[in-house]
Amino acid sequence: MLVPYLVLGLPPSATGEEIRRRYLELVRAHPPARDPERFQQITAAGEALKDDRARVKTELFGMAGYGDFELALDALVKAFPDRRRPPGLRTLLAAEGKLDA
Amino acid sequence: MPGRRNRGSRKRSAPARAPRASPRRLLDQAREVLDGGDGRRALDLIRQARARDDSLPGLPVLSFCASIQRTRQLAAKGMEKEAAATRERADRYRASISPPGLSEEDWVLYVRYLDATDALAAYADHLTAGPAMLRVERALADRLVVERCWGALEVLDESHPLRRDAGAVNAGLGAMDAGDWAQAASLLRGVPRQSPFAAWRLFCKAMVCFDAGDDAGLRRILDLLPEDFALARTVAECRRVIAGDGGGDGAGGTSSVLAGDRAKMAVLAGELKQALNKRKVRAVGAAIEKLADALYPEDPDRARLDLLEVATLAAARDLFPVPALRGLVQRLLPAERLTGVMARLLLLGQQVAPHLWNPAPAPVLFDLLAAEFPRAGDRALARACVLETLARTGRAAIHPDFLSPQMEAGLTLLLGRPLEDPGMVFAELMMASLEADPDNRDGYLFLLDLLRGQATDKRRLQRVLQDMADRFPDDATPWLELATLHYSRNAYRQAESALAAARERAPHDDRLLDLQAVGFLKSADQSRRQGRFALADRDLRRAEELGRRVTAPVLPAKRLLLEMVSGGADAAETVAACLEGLPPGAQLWTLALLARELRDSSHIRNVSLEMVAIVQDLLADRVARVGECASDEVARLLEPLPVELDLLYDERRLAPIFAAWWPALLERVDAERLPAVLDILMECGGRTQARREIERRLRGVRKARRDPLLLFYLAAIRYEDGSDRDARRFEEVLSRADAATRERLRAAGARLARHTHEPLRHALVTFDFEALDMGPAALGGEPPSLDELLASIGELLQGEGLPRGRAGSSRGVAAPDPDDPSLVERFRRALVEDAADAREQVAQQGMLFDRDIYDDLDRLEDLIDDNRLRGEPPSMLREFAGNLRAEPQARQELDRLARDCKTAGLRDKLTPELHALLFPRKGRKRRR
Repeated sequence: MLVPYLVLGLPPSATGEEIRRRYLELVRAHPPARDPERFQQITAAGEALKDDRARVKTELFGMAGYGDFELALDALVKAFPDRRRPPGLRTLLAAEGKLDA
Repeated sequence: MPGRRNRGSRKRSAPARAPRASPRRLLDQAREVLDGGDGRRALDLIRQARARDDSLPGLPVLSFCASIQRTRQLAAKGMEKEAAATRERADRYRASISPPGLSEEDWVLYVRYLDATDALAAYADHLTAGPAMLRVERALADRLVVERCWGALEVLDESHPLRRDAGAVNAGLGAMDAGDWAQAASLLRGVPRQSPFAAWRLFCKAMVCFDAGDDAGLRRILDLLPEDFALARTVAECRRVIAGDGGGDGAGGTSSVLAGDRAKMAVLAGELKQALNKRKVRAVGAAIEKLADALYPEDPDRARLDLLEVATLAAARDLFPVPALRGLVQRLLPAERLTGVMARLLLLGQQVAPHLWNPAPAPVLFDLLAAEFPRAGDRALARACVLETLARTGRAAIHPDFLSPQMEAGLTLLLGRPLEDPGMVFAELMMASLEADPDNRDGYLFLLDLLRGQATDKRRLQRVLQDMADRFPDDATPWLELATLHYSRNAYRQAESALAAARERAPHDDRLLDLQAVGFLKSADQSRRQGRFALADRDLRRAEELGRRVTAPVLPAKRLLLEMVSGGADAAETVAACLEGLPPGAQLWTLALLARELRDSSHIRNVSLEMVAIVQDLLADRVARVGECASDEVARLLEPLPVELDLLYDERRLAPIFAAWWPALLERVDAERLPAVLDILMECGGRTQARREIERRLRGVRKARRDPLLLFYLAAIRYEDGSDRDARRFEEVLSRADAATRERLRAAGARLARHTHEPLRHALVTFDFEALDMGPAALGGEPPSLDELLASIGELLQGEGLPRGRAGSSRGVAAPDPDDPSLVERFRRALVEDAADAREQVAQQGMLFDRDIYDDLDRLEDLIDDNRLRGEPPSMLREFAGNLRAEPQARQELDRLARDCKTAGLRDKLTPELHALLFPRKGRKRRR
């Protein structure tokens, strides 16, 4: 299951040590008082990958934890990093319908 | 012709029909409409204004602008002739414009619709005699940036801000086009704040903030931008993004351009959700492909697997056809992964829908684990995980006595030996899991839980506990469990040493002291029964000295019992003296426990029938005074004993002791605690009393004010005891319940399900009471769709002549040979059976579901309801079907739907009424 890897921003080939380091880094950056939702997401991801047993279980049947397909899809979307990339001027003008003018 | 219809509707809704609007108002409306980009309506309004007053100032400019706008629209539609005619009109209007008489607002409009070169020339002419107008210059600056016609600036003086700053802006355009807004902002740094191009410098900065996620900075800059800025819609969208509106309405335009990556992903996920909900197989495949590519472009196959798992969750809920799932795996993943992935998906589906539990796919998955988990350690863990999951899901899903032959075949393969005792199947699965992953502490705890239920297999439990103690030397739990086991076997010395071992590992663990106190009481019980009263007294005193909360409620009863059986004094006096200091609730509790102890010990020689009678009389006397007890005390009387006292009592329920007085006790329970008490009563077989109490409470209460929870309980109890089997009772309660009450009712349904039987149990668990009307076929009596695939494995095994009738098996179940190398191969073949035809099957399924067969069926169900045919006898249904089929087109349509239902395997899942409509002749034949 990709969700915890997407949350931690790591590839599925990441080692246990890499996962641990990244987890601690993120927990420090997103304390529960400031960003409770993100903190919860990070701790759930850390829990899902905390050791080999958890990792294998997550890999095999992680999706079952959501129970419902809509919740599983929502989790996948929420795990995806929300990067804003402003487009170029021409794209914006085209979207405004001004390029042809 | 949709276009013609649209034009007509626009005409009808045009504000031009409002006869009372003044000409000036009409012009204002025209200006607004023109801003919105609708030149046609603007022209219409202008025409009406001119008809009333053709000397209005601004009329020529507005007419010119609206005509230019309309020209553009017509040209965009390819209506060249009409565009040319409108352009000619525009030129005529332009000729009538007198620039010196234009207001600033008109100038802005004028330069926006003129050619850029003409606009600059006109403004340069104006500057020779008139003042500079900043708004007009900003509009010209916007046109220069959009159209990049820098050469037209030569008509202006070199010192004019537009000409002066154009160089810097032109230099930054490349960076703006490339989306390098930081670079653009730095190139435009020299543009002064008063410049007509200042808004573009600010916009570059705004985009830098947007990129960096600096919402505060972005908001500040957006506030500085003029309202008529060329990218006003982009600015508005930015505001929506920082306000948390998700950054996209999904309708295209700037919304989707500015939306964050997650918002784009949400749109794709929405498409997949919709396709799954509508059972559109091909759309699901396409949506998975698109979403997977966006989600994890580094390895889209991995993301596809995740999304196939999502589709499996939908399939497990019967929202998606399972055969199509196999086709999707074939289409989306490499061919060699089909078997392994299918096995994995089927095991995943079982966890969401435990009633589909079946171990058959597990051996296939094990055979292919090497491909999924290259590391040997991970493979062992995966094996253990699958076995543990099967044990956990199976325990919740199926009673071991109901294992099917194919399940047993799968279990034989998993365990490597035929199943000897079906009752131990889940424990054996768990032990196999622990063999593969012996460090799984939670797995050990689960195994203990499984073994604890097996009263006859204490030795195995002891062995597992010993293993666990060896494997986790610092863990007190196995020692604690060992102590409990020894206590239960009255092996007090061994129990004490196990407790000492546990104490070494967890000196401050409260559970140790609780268990020790319970152990003393158990030892005291045994000594008392054997007539060794001094020893019993010593153990009781030890338990009292420990002062544990868990034993405190039972200590007075134990002490009282010892005094009654050991002393020569009158039993009645002893009991009365002992009860004197206790509050009314505690007196009742103690007497109830005492009555229970005496009943359980009535075969012991030192307990006389007279003692039993005395305690019963006292209990009846105290119950008569139950009015002195508070509601929570009464509720507590009926609660079961704490689980920690399991060692002392075979039965934890105390409510049956009060069975004769339940009505009196129930009257004292307040509305808040009543549901919990009703649950206890149902558990103890007090359904009738529960029903009477609810009826008593509802009597005289107006219908609208009746507690929906009580009505729900009543409906369930009446359905269960057969006094009212009308499913509409549930619907009536639900229709009056708000969202919060529905949640309460759902929770109550889950609790009540434990005390009911099919089909009510299924309806309560699923919280779907329509099914109660439909008969057993709709209530899971028929195998659900995911099961069909699993069932095919069993059919295949049987078809290949597996031996039936295992030696020593009382049920005559097939016992395959675990060493048979072809067995896994047969399982595997069953999983990918007719894989070659799967594509065709999927295409067929896809067509079927894309045609929205369910919608058609729903419409027919509505027709049945509208004609009040639900529940009518078959003869009437046949007559109706005959009438319906009399019309050739309707018959054709019904036959088509019947064929589709048959292909989709829905024929046997239809309601009786629908079946009669779709299969009238076949139904009749079958009944004969």
